[in-house]
Amino acid sequence: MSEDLKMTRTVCMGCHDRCGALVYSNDENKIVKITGDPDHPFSRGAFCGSGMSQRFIHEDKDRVIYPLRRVGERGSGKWERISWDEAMETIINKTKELQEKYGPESIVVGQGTSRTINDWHCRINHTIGTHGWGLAPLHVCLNPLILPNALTMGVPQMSGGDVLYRSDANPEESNTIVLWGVSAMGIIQQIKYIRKAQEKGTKIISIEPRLNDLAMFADLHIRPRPGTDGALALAFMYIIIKEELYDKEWIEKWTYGFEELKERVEKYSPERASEISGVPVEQIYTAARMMGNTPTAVWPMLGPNCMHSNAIQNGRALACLQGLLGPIDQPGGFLISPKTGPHFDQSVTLWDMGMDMLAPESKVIGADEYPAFAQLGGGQWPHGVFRAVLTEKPWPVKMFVFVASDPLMCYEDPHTIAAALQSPNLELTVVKDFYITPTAKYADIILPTESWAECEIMDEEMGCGVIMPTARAVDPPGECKNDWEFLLSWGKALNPEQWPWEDSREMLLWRIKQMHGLELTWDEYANGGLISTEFDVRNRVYLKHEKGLLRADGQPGFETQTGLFEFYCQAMTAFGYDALPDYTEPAETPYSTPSVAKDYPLVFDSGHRLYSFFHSAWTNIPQQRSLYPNPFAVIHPEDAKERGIVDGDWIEIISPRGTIKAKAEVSLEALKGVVFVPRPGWKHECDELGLPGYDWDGAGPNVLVPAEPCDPSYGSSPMRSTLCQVRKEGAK
Amino acid sequence: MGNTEKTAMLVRVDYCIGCQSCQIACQEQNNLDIEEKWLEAVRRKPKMVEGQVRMSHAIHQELDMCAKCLARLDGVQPMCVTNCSLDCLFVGPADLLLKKMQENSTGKWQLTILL
Ligand code: SF4
Ligand code: SF4
Ligand code: SF4
Repeated sequence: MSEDLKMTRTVCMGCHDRCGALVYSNDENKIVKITGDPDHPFSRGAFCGSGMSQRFIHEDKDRVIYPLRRVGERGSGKWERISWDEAMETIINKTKELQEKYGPESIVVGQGTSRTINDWHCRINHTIGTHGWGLAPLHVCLNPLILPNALTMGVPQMSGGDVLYRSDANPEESNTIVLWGVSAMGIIQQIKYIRKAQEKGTKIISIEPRLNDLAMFADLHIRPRPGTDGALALAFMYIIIKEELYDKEWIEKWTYGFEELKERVEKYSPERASEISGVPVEQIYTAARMMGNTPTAVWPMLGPNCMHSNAIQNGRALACLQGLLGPIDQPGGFLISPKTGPHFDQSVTLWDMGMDMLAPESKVIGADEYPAFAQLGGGQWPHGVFRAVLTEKPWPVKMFVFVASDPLMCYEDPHTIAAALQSPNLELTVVKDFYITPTAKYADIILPTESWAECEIMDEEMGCGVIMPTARAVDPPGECKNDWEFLLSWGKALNPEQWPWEDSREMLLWRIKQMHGLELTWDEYANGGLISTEFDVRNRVYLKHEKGLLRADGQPGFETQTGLFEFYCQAMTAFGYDALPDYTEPAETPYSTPSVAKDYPLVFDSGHRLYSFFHSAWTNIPQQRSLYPNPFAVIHPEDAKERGIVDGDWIEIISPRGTIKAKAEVSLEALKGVVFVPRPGWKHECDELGLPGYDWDGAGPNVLVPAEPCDPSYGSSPMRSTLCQVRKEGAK
Repeated sequence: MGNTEKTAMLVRVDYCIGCQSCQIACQEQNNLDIEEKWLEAVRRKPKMVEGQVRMSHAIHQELDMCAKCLARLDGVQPMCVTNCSLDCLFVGPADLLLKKMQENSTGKWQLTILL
């Protein structure tokens, strides 16, 4: 380097991977370059293109860097700069007014993902007078993956593969690794470890309708019709049981309901599952026998049991399959982490997770219709929240604050959301984000936000029990503030006792103390390198159920009603689910709704994730946009041919809910009969490349997705399994 | 690296997932305009070979620019190499990379050399 550069070691918060970053900056507060941190124990130098765009975002002239207030009509696109004090005064006064007039339930705080506010968000809800998560897309994201494990074995974690092989893990201890509904983009750090294990003999099965990049190296790639994963899991169990590929001692000693399971899977012969899923019978046998060669680590991600109208029972089938491949928590199998995921400490969230979220006085929207989501997901059913703005039922919703969330791009049925955001019933909408998003266009106030290289806040979401300190590499532009500081000044004005801190540094140190019992000074935190906690996965203890490490009472066994791993799970019935895993056809498919399929014969799947974007963000950033310049849809060559579509044609994708456009990518990557529409939606234009933006309704896949029918008690919408038709643009 | 040595790029093709991190890293390393690419990671569609699907992506580079880039970096690894998520891309003197490739007994490798 010719210039004198400052190097800052920090963590990228561009997505959940939380890669270690080295940010080089100069004395003009500019980022000069960003590389992966080779000494980071998880990412070990890996760094994606999306993370590198931090340099551009830090300088971007189009970024929101001052608080803005709307001028003129809602949606006018005209803004004036105001001070933070003015913005906060408006927010605080309106909060107090509405608390008084309509009750705290008229104020809804929404969050997106990956900006580290999970527990503070719950805390501000409590301060306002509401409970739990408020508004978050947990009905389709991760929670439907966690819930079945929580009920079946008392472990609220999403996946058991050695916490995604991030930390000194030994994937080669698994004879078989099953990557189920995982995008390569979502496990970009981990693939090299899986590949190395494969070279030492571990077999890899990938299950995903699309030929994603994992299919390149999987020993077996299985392509079920979207949403039929539950049937497949039941058929795997059929074979594993018939061929006695399970550990009898484990089943006898530590599980409950094996005989009932055995009877249930009789309904799901490989032949039947093949008819349902489209997967050849021989492949089902091959896969089941490979899995039966335990230890087997199954990594389901969002594919099988999120974003389907049969999400929760698909997830139960997968959880039971993992139990059948037990012992749970053996090396190379489903590992129970000491603590994982967005783990909560009640002293931080102030949310009593044991409370009755269904009681009328808890005031949770959706509690009547989708009680499992209210009680076990801890959130308000999103569509119900937007509907409540319009109908004022079950009560009026008058104020929204969206932090790191763009509801028009992220939830099903965005037409209702657009109507809600423009409704005169709504008295204040605040959006805190980097750019003027489609939702922010309808906001009254937009608040500017620090990006990861500019801030010091952190979480342990994917830290695996290791605290990864963050440091400010460059000062934020303008008056950008981090999300914690915003919640602090809001909370302090409402209830100073609950928000006693001076700044986000104090919040951070206090949070570490509450959650890990570590008393650190700022210097110890910031300059001490990685901090190991009592939950550090590197100190794994295996077979914790034998050692009394899983139950609150310290007894051996699992934290379930029976104390065992429950194939038969009575707790499911409280929410109307069968106590045994079962398969139900998704609500809208060629089989369940043949009359809809007459006009909309193709299955629509928006689970497709791209390396350069995170959810709907970054289509305005030139380097990222240059990789995927246009909205596109992947369609099978035969489906394209039938419709006179050739590669690169602009096409329309139509469902009974609406129409979006995309460029056709005609490719064997698609499963015949299924159209894969990537998640981003290309909302923003990119000036540098002269490429247009498509707002929320031009190319956003959720336009095609209904809010209902959805999962019967969890409310998961079918973002990965509903129906559509495709035609050349302008064709009839 | 002296001037007489030949510059080469080595890619383990069956590891490369086509994430294109290297492409952006090269632009960042060399402060290139968005339209200018010295390294391109080209995502390729799956194709049929004797009835079986095959998939791989392609890395294409302007090796003369790599030679200059390496000379400028003077021993520091270029960002295309350090940021590769799969650790499957290497740039350097041809003889060293040839040796590196030969140390492996498996994999599909691609060595590009500027003579
Ligand atoms: S955006 Fe990229 S660099 Fe940042 S954490 Fe995610 S994978 Fe890592
Ligand atoms: S060696 Fe330098 S010029 Fe060549 S691809 Fe890597 S970063 Fe680009
Ligand atoms: S960064 Fe590595 S894995 Fe990604 S495209 Fe480049 S060479 Fe391939």
